[in-house]
Amino acid sequence: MDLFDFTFPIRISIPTAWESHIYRQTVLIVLSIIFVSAAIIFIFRKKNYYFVQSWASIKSWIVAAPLLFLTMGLPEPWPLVFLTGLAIVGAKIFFQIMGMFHRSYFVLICYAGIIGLGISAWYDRLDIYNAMPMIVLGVSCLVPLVRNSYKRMIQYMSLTLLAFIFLGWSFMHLGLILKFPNGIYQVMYLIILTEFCDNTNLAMGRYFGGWRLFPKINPRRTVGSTAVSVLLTLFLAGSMRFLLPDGSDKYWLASGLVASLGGFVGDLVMTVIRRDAGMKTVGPFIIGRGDFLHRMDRLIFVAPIYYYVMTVLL
Amino acid sequence: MKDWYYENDQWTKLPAYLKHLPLFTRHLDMFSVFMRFLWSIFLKNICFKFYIRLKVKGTPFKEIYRTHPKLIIISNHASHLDAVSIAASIPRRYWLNLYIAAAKDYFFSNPLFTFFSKHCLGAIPIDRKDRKGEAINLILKLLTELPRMWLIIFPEGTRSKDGKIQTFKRGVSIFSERTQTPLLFTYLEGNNELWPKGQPIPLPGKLVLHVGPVHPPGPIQDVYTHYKQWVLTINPNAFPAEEPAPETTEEKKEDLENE
Repeated sequence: MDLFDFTFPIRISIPTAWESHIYRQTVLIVLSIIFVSAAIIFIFRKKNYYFVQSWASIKSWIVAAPLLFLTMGLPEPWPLVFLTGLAIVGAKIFFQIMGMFHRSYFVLICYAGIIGLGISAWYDRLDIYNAMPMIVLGVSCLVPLVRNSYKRMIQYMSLTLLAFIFLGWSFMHLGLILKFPNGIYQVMYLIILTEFCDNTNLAMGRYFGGWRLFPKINPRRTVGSTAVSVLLTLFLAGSMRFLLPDGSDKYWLASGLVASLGGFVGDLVMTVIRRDAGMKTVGPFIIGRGDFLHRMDRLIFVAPIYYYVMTVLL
Repeated sequence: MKDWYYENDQWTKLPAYLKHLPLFTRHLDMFSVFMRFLWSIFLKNICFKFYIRLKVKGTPFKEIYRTHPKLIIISNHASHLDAVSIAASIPRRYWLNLYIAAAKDYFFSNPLFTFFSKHCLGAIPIDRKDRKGEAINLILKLLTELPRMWLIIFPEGTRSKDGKIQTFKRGVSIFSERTQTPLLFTYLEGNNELWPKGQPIPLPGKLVLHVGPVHPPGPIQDVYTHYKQWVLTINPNAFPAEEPAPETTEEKKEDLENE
C-alpha cells in the first residue's frame, strides 16, 4: 500500500498545493521529522544548555510548521499574502529593535512599500518591484517636511530604507520565487534548508569547535560547526531535490550552498544590527528561542541570491 | 557625525511581561490596537448585549473623560466579570487609555492568558507577592508619565466570597495621593449573582453599573467612608452587617436591676 496515495474525503474545487501528491508527501516527511525530533529532545530537554536551546527552538516549530504548511498549501494568492504578512511582522520587529517603532510615519511607509512589493510580485511587475526601494526612500524624505522637523531624521530615513531593503525587498523575493514552476516547493525547500542549517550549526558548535570566525559578532560560530552544518545542509538539499523543478546536480548543489552560506551571512548581518542597537531579542517566536526576526534573518540574503542564481545563472 | 541614539528602552529595559505598556514610547502598537478593537466588538456588541444585559446609570463617561484625563476607577469586586463589564461600559474610543490592574500570577500565568491580558485587556501585571514595591512603582510611573490614563482598580484586593463589599486596601490611596489622581466611584449591581467565586462560567442575566461621583485624592479611610455612603444609597445591603457592639457591664447591671 502506498502510504501517500490517499484522497481527501472532501474535494476542494480550487486547485491547491494540497492536491499534489508531492506536497502532501513533503509535509508528512517534514512534520514527522519535527515531531520525532521533538519527542527525543523532550526527554533530554533539561540535560544541558544545548538541549535546552534545541527544545526551545523545536517546540516553536511544532506550532509554526503545521501553520506554515497549511498556509502555503492554500490557493493563490494566499501564500503570497502570507509572505507579505511575515515581511511586515519582520519589519515591525526591526523597528522595535531600532527604537523607532513609535515613529509611525516611517513604519507605515515601510509597511506600505512591502504591500506594494506583494502586489508587484502578484502581477509579475519586476520593474516596479525593483523601483520600490527608490519610491520608499523618496516618500521617507518627505516625512521631515510633513513633520516640520529635522531632529534625527537622517537616522530614521536610513533605518527605514534598511528595514525595507532587508525585510521587504530581499525577503519578498520569496514571493517572486513562488511564481517559478513548482515555486511553492522551492520556497518550502529554502525555509527548511536555512532553518536546518542554523540549528545544526548551533548544535554542532559543542562538538566541532576550532577557529571562531567572527568572535566579536557571534562567538558560537566556528569553522568546524559551520563546515559541518553546510555539508549536512547539502546532504539534505540532495535528499529533497524532488522539490526542485530540475533534479540535476547543479540545481540542488546551488540551492544547498545558497541556503547554507547565504543564511549564515544573513544571520551575522542581523546580529551586527542587534548588537549595535544593544538588543538581543524582542520576545519569543511563538513559544521558543529568539524572536521572529531570528527565524527570518537567514532568508534576507538567501531569497534574492537564490532568485538570481535560478533566473540568471541556471 | 553624532552617534545615533536608538530609542529602544521599551524593549531593552523592560521585562517581557511589561513590554506591552507604553512606558517609554507612549505608543501602543497597531496589533494591540487591532486586537483591542476585535475584543471590544465581542465584548460590547455581543457578550454584554445579548448574554449579559449591561445597563449604565449615572454620569456619562463622555463628560467625565472631558474633564478628567487621569482617573482611578474603583469598584466593588465579586467576580471575573467586573473589570470587563466596566471596560464594556466605557466608549470604545477611550479604550486605548484604559488600563486594568490584574494579578500577575493569574492573568499572566500562561502564554494564552498573557496574550489576552496584554492585547485585549491592557492589563498591568501586579505581583501579589511582591515585597519590593515594583508593582506600586510601575503604576505610579504610569500615572505620572502618561498624559491620559484611566486605571481600573479593585480596592478590596480580591473577589468577595459573598458579594458583600470588604474593607479597602491602602494601595488605591497610595496611587491616588502620590500622583494626585482623583477616584471615580463605580458600583456593580448583580455581579455576584451572575458569576460568583468558584463558578466556572458566568450566567446570563442583567448587570447594572452605577457611575458615581469623582472623589479627590485622600486617605483610604476617607475614601472608604465616602464610597460606603454613596453605595448605601443604591443598595442598603451591599456591606456586611455590622456586628453589634459588645454590651458594657453597666448595661448588664441595669438589665438585672430591671428584672
